[in-house]
Amino acid sequence: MMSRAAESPRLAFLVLAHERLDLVQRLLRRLVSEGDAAFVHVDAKVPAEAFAAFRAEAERSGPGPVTVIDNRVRCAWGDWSLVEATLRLIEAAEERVDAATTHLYLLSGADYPTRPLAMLRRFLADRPGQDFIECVPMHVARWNDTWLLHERYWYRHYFHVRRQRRLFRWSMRLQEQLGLRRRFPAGLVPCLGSQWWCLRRATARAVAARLREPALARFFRTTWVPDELAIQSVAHAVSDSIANRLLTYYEFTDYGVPVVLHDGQEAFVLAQPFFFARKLSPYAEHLRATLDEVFDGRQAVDPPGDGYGKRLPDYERARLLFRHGLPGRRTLGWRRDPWWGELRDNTRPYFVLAGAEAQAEVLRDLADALNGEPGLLCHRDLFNKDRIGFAGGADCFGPFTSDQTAIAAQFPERVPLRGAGGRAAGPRERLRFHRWPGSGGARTVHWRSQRGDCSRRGRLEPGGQRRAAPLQRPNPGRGLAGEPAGTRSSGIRGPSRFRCRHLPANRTKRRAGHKI
Amino acid sequence: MAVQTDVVIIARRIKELRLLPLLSKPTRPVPATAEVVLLCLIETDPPPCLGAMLEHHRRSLVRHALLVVSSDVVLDDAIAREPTVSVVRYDAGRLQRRGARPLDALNASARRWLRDRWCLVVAPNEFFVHPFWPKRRVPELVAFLEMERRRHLQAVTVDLIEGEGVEPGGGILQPGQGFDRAGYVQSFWERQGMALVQGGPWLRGPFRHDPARAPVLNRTALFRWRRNLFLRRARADAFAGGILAVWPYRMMNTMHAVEHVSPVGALLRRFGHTVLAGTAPFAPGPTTVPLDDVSALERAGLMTRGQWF
Repeated sequence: MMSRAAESPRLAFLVLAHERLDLVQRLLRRLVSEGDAAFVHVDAKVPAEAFAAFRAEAERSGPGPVTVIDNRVRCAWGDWSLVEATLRLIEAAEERVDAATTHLYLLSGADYPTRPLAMLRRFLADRPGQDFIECVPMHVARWNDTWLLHERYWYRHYFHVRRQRRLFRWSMRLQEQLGLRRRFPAGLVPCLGSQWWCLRRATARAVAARLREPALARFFRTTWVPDELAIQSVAHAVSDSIANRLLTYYEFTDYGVPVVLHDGQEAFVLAQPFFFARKLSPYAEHLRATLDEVFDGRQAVDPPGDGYGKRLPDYERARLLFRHGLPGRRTLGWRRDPWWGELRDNTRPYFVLAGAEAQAEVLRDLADALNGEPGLLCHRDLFNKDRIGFAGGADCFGPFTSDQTAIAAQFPERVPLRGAGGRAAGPRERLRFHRWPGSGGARTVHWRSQRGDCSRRGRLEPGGQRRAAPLQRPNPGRGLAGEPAGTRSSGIRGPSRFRCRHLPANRTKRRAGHKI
Repeated sequence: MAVQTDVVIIARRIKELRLLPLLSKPTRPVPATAEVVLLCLIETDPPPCLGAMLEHHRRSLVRHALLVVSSDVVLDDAIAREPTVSVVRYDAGRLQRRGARPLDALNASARRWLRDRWCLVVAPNEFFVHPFWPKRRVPELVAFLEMERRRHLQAVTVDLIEGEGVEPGGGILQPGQGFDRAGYVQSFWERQGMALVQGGPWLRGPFRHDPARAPVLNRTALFRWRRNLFLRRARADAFAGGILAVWPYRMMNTMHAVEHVSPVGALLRRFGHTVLAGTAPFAPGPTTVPLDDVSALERAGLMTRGQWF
C-alpha cells in the first residue's frame, strides 16, 4: 500500500539567488502559494542592506514558510561555491522541514514555473520512487560539448577558467606533462549533468552527507565546474532510481551559458514538457505574466505526460541554422554567402552561356526554352548597359535591381555577374546565366529558332570529373530572398563545365565555375 | 605595425586630453544604473525628429542620453531639461582653431564620462532597431552580446524614404514610409577583416554610375567603451559628406563570424543627407517596400539575429 506521503508529495524549494531580488521575490510568492516551504541562498556579493530588505520581505511571502539562510557564500560560475551554497540549502531544509516533505527541488532565482504546482505534485505522485537529476556517465556519452571531459577531475584546477585563463591552461598543461593525474574517488562513477534537480529527500540527505566527507569535498573542490559533476556523481551512487531527466527546461548556447528566454516566446516555453523554465530575462514581463496565468489556472496547459524532460528541437534547429548563416539567404557579415559573396562561393549549380552578337537570336531562343523548363532559371543580357536582363523581366532579383548596371561593371567579382574567362564581357558578347536543376545530370533542352530554319535541339551536359565530389554535399534547398517562386535549386555544387552543341566550338566558353 | 598603432593611440589620447578644457561639464551626471547610454553628436541644428529619436530609445530601455552639442546649436529647452538627458557643449570655434573636429569632442566626452559603459552611438536622425524589436529591449541585446563575449554590434544604416503625410517630428513606423529592400552590395576587405555594405537609395540616385564611391552603410553602433577605442568617420573615399559614420578603432567594424553568425542591427535614418533630397518620394514597388514592421528588415537581409534565440 502506498504511503500517504507518496500519494500527495510535498516539496521544499531550494533557491539560489544572485541578482534582481525583486524577481526572486516574485518567484517565491509563486512557490509557497500552496503551502510548500522555500529556502533561499542569496549570493554574498549582494550588499547587506539589500539582503536584509529582501529577507524581511521574503519571510512574509506566505502561506508557506520561507527561510533565507544567513551563512552566505560568495558565488562564482564554475566554482565550488555553487555546490557549497547548495549543500547549505539542503542542510537547512533538513533541519526545518516537517516529515511530510518528500522532495527537494533546486531552482535558480531566474527560473519560473511553467505549470501549476498541483500538476507537478500529481506527476511526482505517479512516480514516487524516482530522482529527477541528469547523471550522464562520462564513459557512456558526452553530456555537453565543452573542451574538457575527464580533464575536469584528472587535474587540479586552482585557477578560474574565465578570470585566469592563461594560468588555468598553464596549470593544466604542467600537470599533464608531469603526469599528475588523479583517479576518481572509489565507489563513484564520474557523471555530468545539469546543476538543477528534483531529488527525493532521502537522496538529497545522502548526497549532502557524502559531500561533507573531507576527502570527497577536497577532491571536488579542485575539479572543473564541480556543480555539474559533484552532486551528479554522488547521486548516481546513492540513488536506487534515477530518471536521468529534468523537470526544469534549459538550453545551452555555443558558449556554454544558458539561453535566456524573452517576451514573445510564450508559446515556445509552454510547449516544452517541463514544469519550470530557466532562465527568464529580467525584462520578460509579458512572459512572466503569461506564466502567471498558467500557474493560476486562468490559461489551460497540458501536462507533460510520458514525454517529460525531452526538449522540442526548435532551439537546436535555430542554433545550427545560424551557425553558418542561412543557406540561400543573404546573411550580413557572412563571408561565404552565395549572393553577397563571390561567384566562387555560390553553392548553387549554374552554367554560363556565352555567344557572339551574331548568335543573339539563337541564345535568346535558348534562354526562352530554358526558362520554360521546370526548375531552371535563365537570366539574359547581364551586362546590358541599360538594364540587367533578369529572368522573366523582373525588376529585382535577390539583392540586386535591374537598373544597377554600374554594379555589374564595377563589382564584377562581388555580384554573380561576371564575364566569361575572368573578364567583363565585351560589347559583342551576350551572356546567359541559369541554374542547373537538382538532378545534376545531363539534360536535353528543345527550342525552336526564330530564324525558322529548323527545330533545334541542344544538350547541356555537366562534364568533367570535378563534379563528382560536390554532388555529395548536403542540400541547402532554400530560395533566395526576393527570388521568384519555384526557382529553388539544389545544394549540389555546380557542374564545372558545360557544352552547348549549337554554339560553335570556338565561341563556347568552357570554364570551371569558380574560375568564371 | 603595432608600434605605429600605439603611436596613433597615444597621439589621439593626447589630442583628446587637450580638448577636455573645451568641453563643458554635463548638465547632469550619467547615472551608474544605466546599462546602456545613448551617445549623440549634434553639430548643426537638430532635425525635428530629435525628440522622437530620444523617446524611441528610451522605450528600448536606453535610459540615459549624452548629447555632445556644438556651441552654435540652439537645443530645444524641453529636451535639455529632460532628466534622462545630459548635455555637453563644446566650443566649436576654438575646436576648429585647434585643428580638431567635432568627432574629437565626441571621443573626448565619451572617454571622460562613459568609460566601460555600453554606448549606443547614433546620429540625431537615426533610430536604432534590432532583431525582435520591440519585444526585446537593448539591455537584453547587450546581455546577449556579453554572453557571447562580443564587445560590439554592427548595424546597417537604412535610409527611410518618406512620402506625403509623414510627420517630421514623428518616429519610425509611420504610414507612408518605406525602405529599399534590395540594391545593396557587400564586399570584404580581407586583410582588415572588414565587411562593407553599400547601396540603398544612394546607388539608385547620386552614385548610380559610380557605386564604388557610395557611402558605407554599416558601422559599429553599440559597443562597450574601452580606453583604447576611438570613433572616426567612415572610409575616407566613401563620400566624405555630412554623414556621421563612427567606427571604433581596431577592427571593431568587423562583422565576420568567428564561430557563428553575429547579430546585426539596423539604424533607420530619417531625413537623409541632402544629396538624397532629390530622390523620388516613397512609392511601393519591387525594390521599395513599406516599413510596417522592422522584421521586414530581417526578411530583406538587412538585419540578422545570429544565434539570438
